[in-house]
Amino acid sequence: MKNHMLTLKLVLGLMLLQVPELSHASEQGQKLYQEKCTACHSISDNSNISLSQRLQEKAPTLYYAGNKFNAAWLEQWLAAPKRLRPGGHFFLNKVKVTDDGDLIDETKLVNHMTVQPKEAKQITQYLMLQTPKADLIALEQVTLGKVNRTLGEKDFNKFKGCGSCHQDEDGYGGVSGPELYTAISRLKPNFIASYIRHPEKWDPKTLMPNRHLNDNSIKKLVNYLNVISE
Amino acid sequence: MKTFSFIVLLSTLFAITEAYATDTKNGEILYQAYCTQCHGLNGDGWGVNAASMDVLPKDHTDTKGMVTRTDEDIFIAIKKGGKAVSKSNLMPNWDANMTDQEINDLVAYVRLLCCEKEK
Ligand code: HEC
Ligand code: HEC
Ligand code: HEC
Repeated sequence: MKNHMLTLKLVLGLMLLQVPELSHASEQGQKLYQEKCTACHSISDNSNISLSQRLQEKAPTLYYAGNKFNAAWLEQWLAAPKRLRPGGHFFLNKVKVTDDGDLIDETKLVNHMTVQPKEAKQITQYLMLQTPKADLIALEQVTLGKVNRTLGEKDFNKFKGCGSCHQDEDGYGGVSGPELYTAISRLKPNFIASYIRHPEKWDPKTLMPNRHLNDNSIKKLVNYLNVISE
Repeated sequence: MKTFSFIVLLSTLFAITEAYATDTKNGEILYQAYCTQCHGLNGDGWGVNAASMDVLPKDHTDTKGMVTRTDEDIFIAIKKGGKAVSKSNLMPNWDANMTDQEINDLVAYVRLLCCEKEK
């Protein structure tokens, strides 16, 4: 009994210590964000953004980062980023017209800045607090499952036309959207479903069309992303 | 009195045409943002995504092919997608992403691209 009380006190004590440390980390993260990231990114409300404003943005919005990214992925990526959009953000500024059709001018793609692992942790704490549009997330109830890979691929490319703009394998697929072969480790499953259902509700001037897919179609697509996930 | 109502009528008519007037400049901006990813910077069907697609995006500079389409056909293709005009499903529907007015601006721009090139 005494032992239990002791453990309880210890746990409580640790929790008390933990809380201020957490908020301290996110405050540090906010400071770092303002110093290092605001030159390109925005975390303010994008609901009334105009097309020309959207096209001028230098980087994707982080307005709803906390509802979009898996924290573990974010922390790891910020310290060691890899390209997500094969055509950059925004692809149009990187197009060169050639005799073989339009191509992405690779020389115009830049590598994302890196931060120290400790900073990545703090920034992640801060970004994960950005959770607007929670009502959209609440509409989804994804549990990840399986799908036949061949059928899933056909569905993704041929029937739903996702592969026109997205890669489902490194080097294979469209280049105007972010690659989706790491989508499951990168993004929250409910966000993926919600974004497929109504991309314009997340990002009013998104370049992705709303294909009016039903629950079952969305589930199949999410499961395909699960099966191919790296 | 008669002149007055005439003026009212005239200005109403003007207001109506104004409201329906299409804006090819705006159409061009929309086209660049949403359509060039597949249809190409010059509208020739060779956008950056075309290489990986099973059905090639329509060449909007193909005057012969495009004059056979009415404005209505083009409007429906953009709003409801390729399937609605018996074309490939790889041409997406844009009804949720833009207003009818914006789609009209796009129709006007596609027309300019295909069939009203300055000589
Ligand atoms: C020079 C401009 C620039 C700066 C500064 C910058 N970023 Fe980025 N960021 C980008 C671009 C461009 C992309 C898109 C990269 C891609 O898709 O490969 C991006 C992508 C991201 C993504 C993924 C977003 C998504 O929706 O896919 C995150 C998260 C991110 N940045 C966080 C940060 C943080 C945190 C900082 C500050 C430490 C920062 N960035 C600084 C330009 C910038
Ligand atoms: C016309 C091109 C296009 C098509 C077709 C398309 N997308 Fe997208 N998608 C995009 C773009 C571009 C983005 C990134 C947001 C932006 O920049 O507007 C995106 C974002 C996403 C995201 C969020 C990923 C992230 O990291 O932000 C998911 C998930 C997604 N698309 C899935 C799909 C699925 C599934 C389909 C097929 C039903 C599909 N997309 C069809 C262009 C497209
Ligand atoms: C994901 C790629 C993609 C995007 C983005 C796209 N299209 Fe298409 N579009 C296609 C394909 C593929 C076809 C050819 C369909 C066929 O020939 O069966 C097509 C065909 C068309 C047609 C012709 C239909 C006909 O009568 O032959 C029109 C008009 C059109 N697109 C307009 C647009 C406009 C305007 C936009 C931008 C809002 C746009 N498209 C965006 C892929 C795309």
